[in-house]
Order: sequence, then C-alpha cells, then structure tokens
Amino acid sequence: MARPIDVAEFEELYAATARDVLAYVRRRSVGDAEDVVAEAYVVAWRRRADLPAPALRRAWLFGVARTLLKAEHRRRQGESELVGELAALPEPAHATPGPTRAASAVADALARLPANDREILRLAAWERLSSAEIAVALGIRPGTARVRLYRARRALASDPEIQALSARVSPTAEATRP
Amino acid sequence: MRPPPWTDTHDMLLADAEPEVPEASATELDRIWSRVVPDLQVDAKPHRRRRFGVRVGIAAVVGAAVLGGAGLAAADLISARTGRGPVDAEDLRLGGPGETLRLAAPDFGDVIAEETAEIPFPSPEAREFALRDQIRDARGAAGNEFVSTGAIRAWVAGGALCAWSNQWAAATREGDEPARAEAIEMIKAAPGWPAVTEIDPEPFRRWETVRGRGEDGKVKVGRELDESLFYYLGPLGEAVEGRDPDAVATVLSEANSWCTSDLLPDLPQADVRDGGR
Repeated sequence: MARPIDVAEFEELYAATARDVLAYVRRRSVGDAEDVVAEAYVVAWRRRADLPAPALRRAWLFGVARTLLKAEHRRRQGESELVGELAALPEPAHATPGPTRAASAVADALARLPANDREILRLAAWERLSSAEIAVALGIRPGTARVRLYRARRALASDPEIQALSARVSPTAEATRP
Repeated sequence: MRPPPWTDTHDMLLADAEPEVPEASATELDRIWSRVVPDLQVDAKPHRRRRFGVRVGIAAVVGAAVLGGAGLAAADLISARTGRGPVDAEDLRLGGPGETLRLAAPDFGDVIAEETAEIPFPSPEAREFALRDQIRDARGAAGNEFVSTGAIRAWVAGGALCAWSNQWAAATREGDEPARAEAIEMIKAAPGWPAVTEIDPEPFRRWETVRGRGEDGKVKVGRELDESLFYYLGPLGEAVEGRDPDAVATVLSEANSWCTSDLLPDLPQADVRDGGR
C-alpha cells in the first residue's frame, strides 16, 4: 500500500489544484466557494490514505467538492429536494453578464437534460476531465463513465435547439467523432 | 431514427457555454489554505474513510461498489474473499448484494470465475473475455478497494448478453436458424437469471419529477430519467425478435456498458467503450 502523503506533499497538491477546485465550485454554486474548497481539502487530508494516483487527484478533489456542494445544498433546501439538485444549481452570479445567444441556448439545452447527464458533460467540457478522471470524480467505473458520457453527448446532440444551432454554426458536413 | 453524432461543433458550443468565473487570486488561495492548516497540525493519523455521496439509480449504485473499506495493509491480502457482506441497508444499496471481495487480491480472478460460473455464455472464449474485462478493471486497485459479488455477477451477466447478442447477429446474418433461436431464447430468459434478479428484480425506466433552481434562482420542477441497470432487457428481447442488427446495436450501445469488440465482433456498432471520448 502506498505511503500516505505528508504535509509538504499535501501543500504541493493544494498549490497544484486549488485554483481549479475553486473554479469548479464557483461554476456550480452561488454560496461561499472558499468555505467549500477549504472543507474539501480538510476532507482530503483526513482521507489522504485514500488518495488516488497523482494524475487523478484533481478529479478526486472535484468529487469531494461535489459531495460538499450537495450537502450544502441539502442543508439549504431540505431533504425532500435532494434529487438532482446539484446540476440544477444556478450559474454563478459572476458568470458572463451577457452570454451569447448560442451559450444561452446550450445552457437551456443542458437544463433539459437529466442531472447526471448534465454534470458529466460539464466535467468533460468545462473541467477538461478524461473519462478515467470523470470516473474518479463520480465514483464510478471507467467503462461506466465512458458509456454515460457517450449517452449524455447523444442526448444533448439530439436536442432540437442544439441541432438547429449546430446546423447554423457548421452548415457543412464535418467529421464526426464516435 | 438514430440520434445525430457528436461533432467538434458540439464540443465548441459546449465549451463556449462555460460560465466565466474570476481567476483565483493569491490572496484567496492563501486565505483558504490558512483555514486548512489547523487540521494538518492536529490530525496526525488518517481517519477511517466513510462512504459519502448519494447516488440515484441502480446503475450508479453498482458503479459505487468498488469504493469502500477501511485502510488495509498489502500484507493482509490473503484472498479476495472477506467472508462479509453489506453491513446495512445503505451498504447494500450502494454496493450491491453478496460477499465483499478484495479487488487487489491475487486470487480475485479465480474467485469471480467461481462466483459467475452459472451465468450462461455461448462459448468458453466469450466467458473468458468477460472475466478478463473484470480483472483488467481491478488491476491497479489498492488494498482498500472492494466490490460485491452481486455487482461482479451483474457486470458479467451484462457481458454474457453481449456475447449472446453476437451469436444472434452472426446467426441472423448467416441464416443459422438454430443458433439464432438459441440466442433469442437466452436473451429473453435473461430477466430471470439470478445474477440479474439479485440486483435488479424489477427493471425499470421512468421519468421522475425533480425540483431544482433555475437560472433565475427560482425553484423549478423538471423531469429526470431514472433507469435500473437492466432496464434494457425488455427492448433487447423485442429487438432480437426482428432481423435488424442496427436495432439490437442501438439498444446495447445505449444501455450496456460491457459490450467490447471481443464480446461483440459481429456487431461492432454496439461497442461504445471507445466512443465516449
């Protein structure tokens, strides 16, 4: 079993990942982002024996922050409104003041997806996570993450507004990716 | 009609919709770190891990099965078998039924072969491919990672359904009616396999009403699709009654995460393992 990291190594981990974790939280919450991020690293330190391989730790920290956000939201909303709440959180108040019409259309289409699909698309596109990292962030198997990402992408691409938008942006045929 | 494919345009549209958030300043990062430091000093020993996170749906529940267990030294790894099962209802819900197995144990492959021996496969080679997938996923697991036999059995059953679908595809194409009939019979019997009923006794796919905050901050009511792990067995059983390989491939690619090209060489359009990214 690998040796748990020491304080100096943990500080290096913080320096390497804290900006991204703070941005992750801010994209998903209007609450006290600093509070959530501090708590995420306290949890990470307490669970340092469970840390994954170094390359996957940023994604793992996203998973910890996500759980804390859910807990925070649950406290605010009450247990009865738990299901699917995380991905339904409002965009941060400090998001782009005047999003483009295309961005608004994509945001609307995302809002129409199931919460799990929405979150997995955000992790891939906004946090630039690979399927393996998404698996770590969501606590699922890599194969399951790949399948869910595939299905979420198909669901978004099938949205009528996205189909229309895609046709306007790129009217000519382009190479497709599986 | 098949859904439109995902293209670079979709990647671009999604990336452009990313909310802009302020770059973290050094002051902010220092402030956060100062709130973490006290815990580093007083907390000398790693805490026992506790499972956190609420997952909805049996598919996610099974996916969570590899998490769990307190720290365990490598020297303690004698066998994959632990002799213990779920400790409570939540553990059962999150991890699946059956005995808890150590993923990193050297006999993990032998144990899962034994545990899944009654799941029907069309050939020994297909069974080996399905088991090899599980062993490959377990490779690199730490000593504190576990999986339930119920989850393993469900995943291997998913692999068996890929293999039977492959026999269906080859037999349908070649006009081998006995082999086609055998495959249809096996696929339609799958909802009654113990490996399926133990974890998903009543497969379902349904829309559920959920509440969340909209972009304007107001609580809105929406609908969310909830699926059980084997919800697709009904549609698959209907699809194999026909003769359209694309119809079968669509059901599998949308719902079954275990169909690799090894298990489904005659229906490559159903392999989504490499299609997720």
